Amino acid sequence: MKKQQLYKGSLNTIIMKLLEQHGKMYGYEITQKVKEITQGEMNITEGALYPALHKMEADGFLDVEMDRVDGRIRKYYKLTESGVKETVSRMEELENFVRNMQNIVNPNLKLGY
Amino acid sequence: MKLSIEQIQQIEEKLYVDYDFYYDDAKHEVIDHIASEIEEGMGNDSFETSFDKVFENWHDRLREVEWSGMHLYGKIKMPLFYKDQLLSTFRNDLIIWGVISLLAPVLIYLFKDSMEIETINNVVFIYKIVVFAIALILNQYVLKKYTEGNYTTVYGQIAAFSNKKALAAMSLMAFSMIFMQQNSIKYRENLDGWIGMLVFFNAFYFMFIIKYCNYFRHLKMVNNIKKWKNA
Repeated sequence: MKKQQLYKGSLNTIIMKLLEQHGKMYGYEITQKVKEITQGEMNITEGALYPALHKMEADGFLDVEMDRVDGRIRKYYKLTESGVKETVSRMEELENFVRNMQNIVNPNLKLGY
Repeated sequence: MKLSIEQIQQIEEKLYVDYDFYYDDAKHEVIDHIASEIEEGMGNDSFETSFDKVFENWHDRLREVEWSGMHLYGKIKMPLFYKDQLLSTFRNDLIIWGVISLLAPVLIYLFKDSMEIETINNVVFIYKIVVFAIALILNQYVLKKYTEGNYTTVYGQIAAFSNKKALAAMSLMAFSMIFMQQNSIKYRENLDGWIGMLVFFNAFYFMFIIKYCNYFRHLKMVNNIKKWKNA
């Protein structure tokens, strides 16, 4: 539970990074990808995922594409131009945060970025 | 294992019948997510078992909760699914409401010494009529347009909720707050308390105006839905 709270603040950045890597993704795919990468440590609930996606879409960071797949309509998200720029800036912020946390938690260990 | 058209229709039906989940902005996404989870579960279970398990997990997020938001009459029912989204827009609305409710009173307070009492009375009277008229027009416009429209969204539901009752309250309030208050300020020393009344007036009417403005969020969503459909 505490781990989930730590991840929560970075949810948008995580989604944007995944979209940067994979081009376009749909909701369920994002939850599964995160679970796979973090080996089940991070579990994005639909209650957190969709409001985050809708907010980023409204902010103009994400674009939407609808496709009919396996007999149902699937909504894909992809980064817009401003979304790509925002991802770079958020990743820098996140890397700085991780570096600072690392320096506090384990000052002797140097991370290479 | 992929679901058949009938099995997908079964998911859709369950969402409509058991949860009233008709929201056009999210239903395709929710159906696809649930269908994907059921398909994953069908690696070990039958469709029926997987269907029940997935809906059991989704039940809490789909069940309706009461949302009071920014309106006076009762509480509108919303799926818990929308809670975070609504909280975020509600916070923005609350800030706008606070600022807009204080704007005119603060301006009058700042310029009170350079204005005649009669001018203040006239300006505020016209201002109140304009605010009342905007609230009234939006009330009727939103109700008419939303009921005539083909799309259901969470913001449309909020904008159109309880508009007939609100109309009665706004009209009643107009008599005591506008027409009975015409030329009510006689002495400059009573002005501060009188400005306080204007804050109350603004808070009351702008609460409705901001609620009706959710209709424009609804329209934005409808435009997006149409864009997706045409793509």
